[in-house]
Amino acid sequence: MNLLQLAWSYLRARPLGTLLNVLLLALGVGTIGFVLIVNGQIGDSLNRDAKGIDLVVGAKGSPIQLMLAGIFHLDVPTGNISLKSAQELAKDPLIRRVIPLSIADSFRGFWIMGTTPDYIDLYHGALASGRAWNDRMQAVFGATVADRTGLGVGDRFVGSHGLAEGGPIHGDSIYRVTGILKPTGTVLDRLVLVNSESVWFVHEGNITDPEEKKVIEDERQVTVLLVQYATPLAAVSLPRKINSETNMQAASPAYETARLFRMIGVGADVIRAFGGVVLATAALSLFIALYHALNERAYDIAVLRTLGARPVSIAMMLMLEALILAVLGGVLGLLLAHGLAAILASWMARQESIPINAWAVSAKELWLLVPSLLAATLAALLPSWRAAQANISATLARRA
Amino acid sequence: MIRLERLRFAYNGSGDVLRLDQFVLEPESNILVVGPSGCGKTTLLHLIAGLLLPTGGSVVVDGQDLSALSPPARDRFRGRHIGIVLQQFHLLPTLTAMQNLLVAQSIAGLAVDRVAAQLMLKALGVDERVDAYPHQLSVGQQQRVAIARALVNRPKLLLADEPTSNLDDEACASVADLLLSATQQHAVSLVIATHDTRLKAKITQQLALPRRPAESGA
Repeated sequence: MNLLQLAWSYLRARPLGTLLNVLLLALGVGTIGFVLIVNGQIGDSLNRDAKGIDLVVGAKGSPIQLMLAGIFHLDVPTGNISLKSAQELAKDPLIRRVIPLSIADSFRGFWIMGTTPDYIDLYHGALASGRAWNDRMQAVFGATVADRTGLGVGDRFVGSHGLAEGGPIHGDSIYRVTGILKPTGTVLDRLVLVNSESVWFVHEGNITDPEEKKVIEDERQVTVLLVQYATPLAAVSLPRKINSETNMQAASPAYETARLFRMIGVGADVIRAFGGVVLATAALSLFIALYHALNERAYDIAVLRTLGARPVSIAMMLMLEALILAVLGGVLGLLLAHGLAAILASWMARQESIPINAWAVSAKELWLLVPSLLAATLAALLPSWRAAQANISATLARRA
Repeated sequence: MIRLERLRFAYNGSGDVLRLDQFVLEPESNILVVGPSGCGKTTLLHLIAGLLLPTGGSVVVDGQDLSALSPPARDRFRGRHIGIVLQQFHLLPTLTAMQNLLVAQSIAGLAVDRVAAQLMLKALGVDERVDAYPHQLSVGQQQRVAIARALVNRPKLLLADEPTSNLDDEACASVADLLLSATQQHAVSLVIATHDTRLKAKITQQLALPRRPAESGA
């Protein structure tokens, strides 16, 4: 029957008050934890997707849109650029590698991405079954696409124009699935990959006249170029050169992601602040409960002192009560944070948006117990001190 | 067991003073502290328990001058050597009868000894209700548990403050007998502060405190 058990006995004796304080603490910790988990998961996911890409080049427009469309495929592209100017750019000695992306069509809400095998290498994609394409109209499915559509190697499908389902269908251009990729945890999982020629073929049709073919081939376009620098020095001059000397636009993923996060960050800050307010409310509620207990239990405290309890033990008992609540509230809050993240994750998965692993638990989350413990400690400070100072003789004499 | 020398206690604020020049209680003896209401019986008990410190003179319990101890040491001394029974026989409401005894052991810094606690409850005749909470016990049972709690750490001195003042004659006699037999059985000195004249038939040794003088004194 030590102080901890004694403290617990008092908490158990008033279950409703205990529950209220635990819930308030849990709500505060849960809200802050939710923001932390989601922010972290989105940040990790975006970083994985943007890894190895130094620069995105596309049609002029909003740089954030270009990045969202070119790397994360969360937005429609800003437009197209001509294949010729893309090929011109690729010759620049500051550039090590250029990966072209042609985006025009989709299949059941997943983008059909005309590109080169380099794109799959960029995300360390590996085949789970089948083989890569070796001709036009052959497609490799990302893991999520295969999972959601239920299509396998050998199956055939047609793309529809734009991203929305039910858009105009390219009914005469039939793709065949030749391979399925293993999950990579990147944007690759949510793409249908084909070679660039396939995208051109779908939109040009089968042209036999050599004159006409020459004209059309001269007008070919790509949507986005993913650029890897040959040297870090390229970051200094290349984006400026592209933006000022060509009719293309260059955007740095690192910079634009940071800018985007600063914008979303306001929303995150608001939610976090709300969590802070709830936590402050929890501290206040706890303070009132303990202060109340001080009066209710004045005689109990006096009896404990007659049994030989030191003032510091009495203070410790009240502090322990607060800390027990803080730990319970903190742990419940962490569960709540993950639960909320799971709800958001399932919603985002339905939108084929950024994947969130809601139940990924890291040891760092234990830091979320700190605000809870801090709130409890602050709330218990004054009541504990008062309890230690109480005049025992006077309390006993009053009742006697 | 108790030796008081030139004891003075000045009440806060007022000029009232409690004076007791010489008092000695032999081991294993019983005494009633009597006197009119407000004469300082409770104050004297608190001084002997070390809950209050004298403003003059000394309180020596079992050879230990209480003023010479540091506050934490005084709390510990009280926990181990002095048992206290209060008027309401107040038990901690969130703990069972057994736990009320165990917490007394633990708080005094002694090993938690369930067997000793069980034996003490048995000695007081309440070993059937060890897991009952105070509100589930009758008043009589609560009194017995409270006495068991005061004795569980084997103190040499038991202080009781008005233990019978709210009780009818039958209950009064029963509590007095309980206190006397329990203290006798465990070789404990008993000091009862009371204005209850019914107890005078049970305990002959008495310390009568005079009405407190109104003027201030040294």
